Amino acid sequence: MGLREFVFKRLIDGAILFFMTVTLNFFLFRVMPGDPTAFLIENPKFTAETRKALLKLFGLDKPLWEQYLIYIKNSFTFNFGISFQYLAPVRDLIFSVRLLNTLALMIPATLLATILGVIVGTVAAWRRGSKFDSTSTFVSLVFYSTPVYWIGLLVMLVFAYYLGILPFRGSITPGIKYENVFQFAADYLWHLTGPLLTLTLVNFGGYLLIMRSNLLDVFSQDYIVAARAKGLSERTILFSYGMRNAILPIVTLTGLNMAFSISGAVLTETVFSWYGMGRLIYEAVNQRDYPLLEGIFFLLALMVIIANIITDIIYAYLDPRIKY
Amino acid sequence: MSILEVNNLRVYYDTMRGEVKAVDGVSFKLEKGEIFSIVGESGCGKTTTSNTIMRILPPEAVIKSGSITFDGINLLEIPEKEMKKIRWKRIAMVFQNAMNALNPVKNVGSQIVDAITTHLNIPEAEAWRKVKELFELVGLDPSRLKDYPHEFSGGMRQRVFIAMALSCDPEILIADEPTTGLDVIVQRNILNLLRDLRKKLGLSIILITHDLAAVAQVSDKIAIMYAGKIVEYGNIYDIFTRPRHPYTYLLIKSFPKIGSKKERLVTIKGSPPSLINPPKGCRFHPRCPYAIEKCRIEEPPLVNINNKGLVACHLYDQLNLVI
Amino acid sequence: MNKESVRIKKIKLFGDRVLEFARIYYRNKYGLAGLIILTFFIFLALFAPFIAPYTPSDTFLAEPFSPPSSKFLLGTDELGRDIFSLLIYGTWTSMTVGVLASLLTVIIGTFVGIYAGYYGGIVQSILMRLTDFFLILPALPLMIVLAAILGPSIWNIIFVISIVSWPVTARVIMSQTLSVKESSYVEASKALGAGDTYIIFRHILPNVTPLIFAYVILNIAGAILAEAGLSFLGLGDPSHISWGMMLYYADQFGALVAGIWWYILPPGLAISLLVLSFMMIGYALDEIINPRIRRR
Ligand SMILES: Nc1ncnc2c1ncn2[C@@H]1O[C@H](COP(=O)(O)OP(=O)(O)O)[C@@H](O)[C@H]1O
Ligand code: SF4
Ligand SMILES: [Mg+2]
Repeated sequence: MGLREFVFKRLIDGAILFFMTVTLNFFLFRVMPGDPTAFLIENPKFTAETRKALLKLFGLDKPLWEQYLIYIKNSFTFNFGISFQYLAPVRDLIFSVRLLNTLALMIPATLLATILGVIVGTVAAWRRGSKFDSTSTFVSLVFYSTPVYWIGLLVMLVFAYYLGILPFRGSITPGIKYENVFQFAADYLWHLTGPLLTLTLVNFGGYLLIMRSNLLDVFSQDYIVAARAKGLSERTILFSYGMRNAILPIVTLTGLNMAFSISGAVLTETVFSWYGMGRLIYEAVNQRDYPLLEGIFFLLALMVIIANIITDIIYAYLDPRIKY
Repeated sequence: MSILEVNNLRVYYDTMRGEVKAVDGVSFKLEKGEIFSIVGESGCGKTTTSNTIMRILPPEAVIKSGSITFDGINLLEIPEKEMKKIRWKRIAMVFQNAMNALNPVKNVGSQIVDAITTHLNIPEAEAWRKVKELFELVGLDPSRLKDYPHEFSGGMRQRVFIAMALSCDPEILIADEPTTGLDVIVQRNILNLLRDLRKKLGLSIILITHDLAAVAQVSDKIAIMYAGKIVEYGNIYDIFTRPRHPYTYLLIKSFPKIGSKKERLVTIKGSPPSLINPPKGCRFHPRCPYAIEKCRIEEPPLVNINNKGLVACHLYDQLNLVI
Repeated sequence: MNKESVRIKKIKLFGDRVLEFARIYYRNKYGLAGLIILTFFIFLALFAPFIAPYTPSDTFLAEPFSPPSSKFLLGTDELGRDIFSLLIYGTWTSMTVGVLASLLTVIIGTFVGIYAGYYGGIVQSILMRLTDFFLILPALPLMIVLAAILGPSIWNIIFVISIVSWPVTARVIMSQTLSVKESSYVEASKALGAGDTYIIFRHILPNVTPLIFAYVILNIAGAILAEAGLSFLGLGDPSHISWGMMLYYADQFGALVAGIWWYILPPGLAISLLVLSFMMIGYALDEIINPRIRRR
């Protein structure tokens, strides 16, 4: 089997996962609440026409299996109805600047955490048993155990309240008129610093521990002993023989960790009032805005599935042993 | 003149359960140009011995005593920097399991090039040319230089590793179970390759195996190891025609000889002892059919028999072990 | 040897193993530290009414947000409740939810794992697909959705956490089940005509029990964090004060912009310490179970 077939197979897997997600969503939002009409449509703010249109859109007067088929069709177009709170189509609320804001927070945080984790984990494993090793292991355990929103609160307490060098909340200064793009960028980055720092810190510990344990595993392998016997320099052994093997699983892990990162991002965005999907899910929950909740959850699940497929393919491409 | 001399070597592993006395007073000489085999059951300390010669022991290993003399220098005393000049350049090694000993994510050619460029001061292009020659020398298709380890069969992987071991023209080659896990025909081919290489390159070889039958045809001298100690030592002919140690005798009896297929196979009862608390007296006594009271108490010394070999058994001159 | 002496020997062997485990565990400084912190919190949770100076319903409405003093060790919240007392009462909630959710998680995981591993075939493929699916779903959003639909109660929270967290355990138990299933004594049992239930209870379960124990411990840390997270998002059970809920109120009532650190620091520190104690115990267990690290 070639790489192309492997990609094809993963895409099929992705399609299956997509349908599982749709089914789960259907179960959660149509079957579980008992009376989805009350759940989704009977908002006093909606006009009678809107209600009628929604009833038709969801097919709530039809038998369950037909509703399911309609649900699948609607899922393809992210047609989840109208937000209770914003009185706007859920799709428009999701595919907006909020999504970009979330990506602007999550992608750099994940990359930074991975790079930092890999570097520190490598040094820790290389100097196994040293002060550096035990300290960094302990610090990662601490960060792993600390709630992300609390770290966020501490960051704000220190940098915003006491030092006054970072803003309290939000993704831009409200009501400000920017003179040029750079001013906007500066303001945006200034607001991004706190959440980015927080999210990076909580993600980084996990990568560190895993990189360290991967490397220790690799170091006990015969090919490292053989590399030593060959007299290769410590540098060559570490980079060309050690890390090259230990870093591969990290690729897959980044995909798997997306789910974890998203959980962290939701809490970080909430505490920093970052104008993104995480903050939106918080608002949706507190307003019991079920259509919005449904749409966000579907999008987040899709993001994770896609990230996993991509990292799987990258892994297969990088690892010569994969026979697909 | 012997090229390598190991003297009273004792190597223990410090573990949470106690000290593993993996090598406990081993001595032998490797003559120039000979193939010297160390034979013993798995876990008796063979790999530890060869790793000590290469000085690639894990941190938990402690060298308690002994010397390893190579070219007039004690390898156990020189600094790591000096050892680096000897390791692989003058003494190279084939690992027990080539699959695990080759980096899985690097093509085999570049792994050999790594070794060459580390020790020989030659440009990379020339190193690749040399790898190609080595491939031909060990009977591999040079077009597969850039293949990955998992793309080779077991026997070919051993050949790759042998090519790697020979890449810096060493004087001594240590082959740690180079044929374990391969089928009989491939085993024979690999051993014949080693024998041919010895002649062609003037190598001295330490051949380590748990399979006495396999190495019989290619070895000059044999040491039989049991539970961290050498129990019998001699040239191949003497050992096979007149074993003195019951363990050697049972080993020989346990493989079928061509022509006498009907003879009942003898197996050695029991399993190798723990090396944390090895049996007192003769370490073989719990499994030895000839053991007497003395064997339980007193450790038999390694004695010289008519300059024909060494044996460590209280009853060496009383037993008549006929093959 | 008669049956009785075999049994005695077995018990002795088991005793030896437990002793050796305890000895190695004791030497592990993470394990020891974790155990000490945990004991402290268990003590707080069990004796909360005796230790706490006030109860969560004692409100001193005239003294909201008062700073730490001899009357209120850690100050008061927006309703004038003693933060120190809330903290102690919150221990019970965190511990209960953590332990029960972890137990339920492991029960579901074990059930799925054994079922999939033992029966194999199509059952296994379907269950594994399901496991993988739940494994990659974003956990917190799923918990949020479920909690929002089910409504805020401590039992719902326990259920929600378990229903989202079981896949990891299921995978581990499944692979262990697979290897036990292929062992010779199970094959022999089968050849002798033993039924599935017999084999599962007699051979498979005893072999996965150590794993089950380990995973109950390992999952508690995650469950405590999950409960705190849900509570922080306002999805907690209002009738049981918890540390996450304290942070929720602190955030809602502007403790941050007012710099009321005594409302922000203690609950987070408590969550962190309790979770850390379980993490350290888990880390120690891993070091003991994993022979690579155990060497030396
Ligand atoms: N790194 C180690 N730590 C502890 N014990 C070890 C280690 N390596 C080997 N041993 C033990 O030392 C003994 C000898 O091992 P080894 O030299 O590999 O034997 P052989 O190569 O003859 O099979 C065995 O009992 C083995 O369990
Ligand atoms: S010394 Fe005794 S126990 Fe050991 S091999 Fe000789 S006869 Fe057997
Ligand atoms: Mg060996």
